[in-house]
Amino acid sequence: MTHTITRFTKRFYVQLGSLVLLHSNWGPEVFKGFCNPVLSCHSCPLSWFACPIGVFIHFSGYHVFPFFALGTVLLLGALFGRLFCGWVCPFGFLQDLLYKIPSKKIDLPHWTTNIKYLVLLLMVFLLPYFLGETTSLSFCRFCPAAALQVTAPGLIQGWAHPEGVGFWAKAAVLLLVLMFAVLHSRSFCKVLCPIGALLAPLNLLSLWVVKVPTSKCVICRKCCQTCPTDVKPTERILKGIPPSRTPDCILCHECQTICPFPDKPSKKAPQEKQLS
Amino acid sequence: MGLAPRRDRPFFWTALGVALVFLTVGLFRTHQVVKKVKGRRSLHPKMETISEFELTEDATFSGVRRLFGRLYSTYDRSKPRGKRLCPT
Repeated sequence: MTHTITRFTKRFYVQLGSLVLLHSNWGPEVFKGFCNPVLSCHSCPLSWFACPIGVFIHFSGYHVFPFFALGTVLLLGALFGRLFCGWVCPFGFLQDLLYKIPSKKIDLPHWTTNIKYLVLLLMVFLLPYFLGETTSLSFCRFCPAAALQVTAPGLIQGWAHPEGVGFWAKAAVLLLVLMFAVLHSRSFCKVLCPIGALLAPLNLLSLWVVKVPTSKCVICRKCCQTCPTDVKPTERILKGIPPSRTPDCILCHECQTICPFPDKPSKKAPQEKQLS
Repeated sequence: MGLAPRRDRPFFWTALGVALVFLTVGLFRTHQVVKKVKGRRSLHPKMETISEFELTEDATFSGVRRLFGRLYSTYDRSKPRGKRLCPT
């Protein structure tokens, strides 16, 4: 069990470190031209990088193809898949923390995972293209990360005012997303996140994969139980496919960590430790 | 962690190739924006050429708007650059 705790803690610290590092005022200004494939509003003055979704919305409105922004996201997606979702995304980190709150947990139907592709197509590309980048129907107007990072501090500081349908719609979306994060692990990432939708197909071809040894699998299904996105890693491990080769995997490596027969024989597995 | 199996590599290299082409195009592409002139409108507005990197940066605080098929700069580019809050 010590093995598991060490790895979980490692991811927690990476997430915490990313949150602090990438949202601090001393970040160089030049990074604002680069897209970091995580849900973090670039309108927050503390944010180092541009949000790819915000940039795509603006470029759709400009009727300009976002070669540079899309190239950056494609490059990182091809190399790492959805690794950023699991280890860097501050909104994912918030959801991980919220899911730890003891409460009744619920399952979401599998078809809901397809909603995010519709969100990406409609609210990031098509509606801003036809209605302009400032349309009130773009994803930014409902983005829960923007509500947390920009609208909420604005309310506290007094330059944002709780008025208009847009404000209340954004607040309602934020509340619903936070509520569902308590009830279902990474619910926003699976159902609504447009960055997740963009990176999801790249999980199927990325260079970085999670590896769990096929020959040693005893179908204990511990990996399925621990998976935060419920993507059933055992099914792929038994077929000899890396467990991360599915659109909704966030490459958290928890299936690899929990595996009682890990890849390296030099490190003792928990069972072996108990036996010795 | 680990690297993808060899059978998946051709798809990875294809995606990487597309990404690098996009990045290269993005690095060298420039855009024409109508320069913001304080206080008056002209029939022959001054144009300014900005890189796609700058346009990406501008998108983070709505520094450019599209009106009647043209891109208009919404702020004075001669001012020192820095982190700005999105006006929307």
